[in-house]
Amino acid sequence: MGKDLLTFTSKGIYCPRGDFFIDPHKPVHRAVVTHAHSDHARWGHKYYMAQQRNRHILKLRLGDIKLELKGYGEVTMINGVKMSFHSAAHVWGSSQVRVEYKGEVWVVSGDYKLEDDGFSGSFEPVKCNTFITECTFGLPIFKWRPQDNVYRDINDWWRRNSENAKTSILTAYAFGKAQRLIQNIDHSIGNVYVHKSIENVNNALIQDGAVLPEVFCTDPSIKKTDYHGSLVITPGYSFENTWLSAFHPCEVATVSGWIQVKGIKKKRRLGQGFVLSDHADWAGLNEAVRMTGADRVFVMHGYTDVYARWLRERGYRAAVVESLRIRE
Amino acid sequence: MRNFSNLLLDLENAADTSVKIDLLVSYFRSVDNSDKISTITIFTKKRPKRQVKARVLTEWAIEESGIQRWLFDECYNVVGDFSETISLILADHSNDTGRSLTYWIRYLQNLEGKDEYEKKLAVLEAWRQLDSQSILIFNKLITGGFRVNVTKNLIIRALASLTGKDQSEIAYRLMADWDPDSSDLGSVFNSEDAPENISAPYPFCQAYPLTGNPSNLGKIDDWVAEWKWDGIRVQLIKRKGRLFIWSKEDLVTDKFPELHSLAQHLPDGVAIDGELLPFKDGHPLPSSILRNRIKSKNVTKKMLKEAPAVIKAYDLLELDHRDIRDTGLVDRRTKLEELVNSILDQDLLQYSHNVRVRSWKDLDSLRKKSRTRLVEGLVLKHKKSAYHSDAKRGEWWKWNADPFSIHVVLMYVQIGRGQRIHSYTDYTFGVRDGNDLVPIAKVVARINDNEIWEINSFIEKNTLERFGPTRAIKPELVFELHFRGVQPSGRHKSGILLLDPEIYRWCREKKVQEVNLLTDLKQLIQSNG
Ligand SMILES: [Zn+2]
Ligand SMILES: [Zn+2]
Repeated sequence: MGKDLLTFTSKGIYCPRGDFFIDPHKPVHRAVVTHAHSDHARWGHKYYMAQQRNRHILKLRLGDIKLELKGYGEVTMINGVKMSFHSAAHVWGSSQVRVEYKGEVWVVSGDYKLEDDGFSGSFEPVKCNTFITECTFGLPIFKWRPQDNVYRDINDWWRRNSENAKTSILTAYAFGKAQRLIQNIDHSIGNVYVHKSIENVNNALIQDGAVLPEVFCTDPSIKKTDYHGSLVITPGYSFENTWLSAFHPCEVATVSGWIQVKGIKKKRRLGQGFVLSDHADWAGLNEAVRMTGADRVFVMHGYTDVYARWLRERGYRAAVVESLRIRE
Repeated sequence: MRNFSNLLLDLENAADTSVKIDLLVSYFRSVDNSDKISTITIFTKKRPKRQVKARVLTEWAIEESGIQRWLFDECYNVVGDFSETISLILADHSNDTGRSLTYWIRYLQNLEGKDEYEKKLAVLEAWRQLDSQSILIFNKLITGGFRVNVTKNLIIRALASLTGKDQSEIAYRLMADWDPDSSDLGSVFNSEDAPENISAPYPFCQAYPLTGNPSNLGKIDDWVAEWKWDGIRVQLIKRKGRLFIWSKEDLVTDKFPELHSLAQHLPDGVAIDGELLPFKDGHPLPSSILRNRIKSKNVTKKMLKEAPAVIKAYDLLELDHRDIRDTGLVDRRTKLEELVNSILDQDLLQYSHNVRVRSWKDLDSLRKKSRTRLVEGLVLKHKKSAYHSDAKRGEWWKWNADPFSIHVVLMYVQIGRGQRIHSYTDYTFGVRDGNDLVPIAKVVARINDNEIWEINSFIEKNTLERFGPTRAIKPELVFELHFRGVQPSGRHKSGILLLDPEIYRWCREKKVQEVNLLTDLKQLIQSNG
């Protein structure tokens, strides 16, 4: 693999020719970052390069970093290697990274989904020889329903709780799922509140050019009864009982792709919830791989062994990006 | 079917009993009488018979979905359940045609006696007509694997609230021989036109687990202490000359022919609460023997010879056809003792004697040694207590013996079902046997998240071998396991089976040389047998 355009090192995906890393998980000199989730954009690199929409969100997450920003499709030459960002539709500003040298093209998918959620942009298929793809949900048991059906279920649930003078609490990732919900739920049912950490993300994204419907921020000074009938969106980790008690009586639900499987739901103590994910499902992964036209595929993140084998059986040269250890 | 599958989903998510009851009541209100009956039937009485083995169903699903077997197996490893795996794989193959639960139950019943090809066609057709969640339930029903986290008591309370009748009456009716094919809830719940049922047992009175100090219960003189036998709780009933033995789940009279002679000795119109035990040469044997007997089709001579059953009598609920559950415990037990003494076959029916001590402290020391008697501990009953229709806090307490404890080493781990990234939560532990290690228990880890993370990173670095989802680990991590008991087992390499093993803690300070020996456990069997 010595001559490969991208290699897999203990620090992450590396381009020896261009001397840069993509989403490295240990401190490096030059890091190209696909999106601002913490398992991709890590702290401690010397120079960062990211897509234009990430300035304030990266600053919120990593503080003052040396950051260079590029538009979607804009080609940057790094030591003779052409590098460009292409929409991954995973979250606001999320990108695939295309790398080209002497006509050979590699694409690193980062995290992605094919469905346009109305906020995170639409997925751009990029032709390449070698595709490095995530496969978080790389099993055929993961099939997402059309998102409108899920929003309808969420709205129905919220409306029902609202009629019973209860507060509806949704737990969702602060960056990504939260904005997708804010964008798509029916604001005519009641007020929408968000946890402070989501408010911070929202403000950063708005500075980065996003447009979001108006929401309120939760606050200890707000009376319990004022929450009744409204929807509160909060990231999972703010889930202390004392925090929750401010909203009684309430119903709590999780928004996650993992809700699909009972065993996982139980193990992760997710309780009731709605199946909605910012990652591609099984069909989405296969469609993405097909659209790249690549004949070589490396897989990472999730059910890698299975997905690589599946691809091999379909004639791809596929392998698992072993050296990467990812946690979310 | 959609109503029913939504109910099950909601019940799964409901945290407390009152919410569950509300869900059941509003479900019962929303479905017609035949669905009401069908629901009560599969919750409380008999579920449809198994028509197809899970293995065979899997073959059909693989064929129908067009995915490879290995891929199905991988999915199964994550989901951990055949029925659910199939339902997820087939999720977008189907269109819900909106038929009722009763329709599908009858559909299943009609498969009885059909050959496999006909069954296959019927199953494929059903899959095409159900949504994913309903396919899951259909699969559970057809493979006989339907279980639901709804106790009979919950159903009783919901039906009581729905019909305005007493819980005890509903309970009585539910236990009786009503006809699941009748289409009218009234005929089941109206005492006027319900056929008289001579076998009906009473709802079992339950004891609450005692936590904390028993001296909080007041004077020991106000209480009766009994051994808590490790068997199968039953009611022994004789009415109109016939003998009936009810477990909490079912009528099991047929499975215990050795007890049938009691019909000649017991007076008519009695109901006795007791514990069914395998008993040989004056000693109880492991209760699993009788559970297996209940599950097996035929009762063989060998079973009767190797592990004959007896009943330890706890309580008397009916005497001379009179319900005496409201008279005080002491009175009932005096009558029970007289009754047992008056019959000839006292070996088959034994009075479960009071454990007599002067103080809670003495009782506690007896409890600590209770393992040696092959009992699970003690039950404390207030002398004035009635025999309630369910658990009534404060009157009956179970005070279990402390669990056994042992040090073991982690040998194998399996990728926890459905974990997103590798998280190893099914642990196989071993003990020392000479210079070797033998696995003795597989446990689902309940360890705090920090430790799991630490243990996982140890596993990452110390995997010796991988087979499928299982990894062999360098035997270094020592844990303390607790378990309720130990039994000889021919099916396990170690020759023993631990009952209800649980991880108590991770012992960082201990080395593999300090884990217990297999002989320690074998001695435990001997000292308890
Ligand atoms: Zn991400
Ligand atoms: Zn990620």
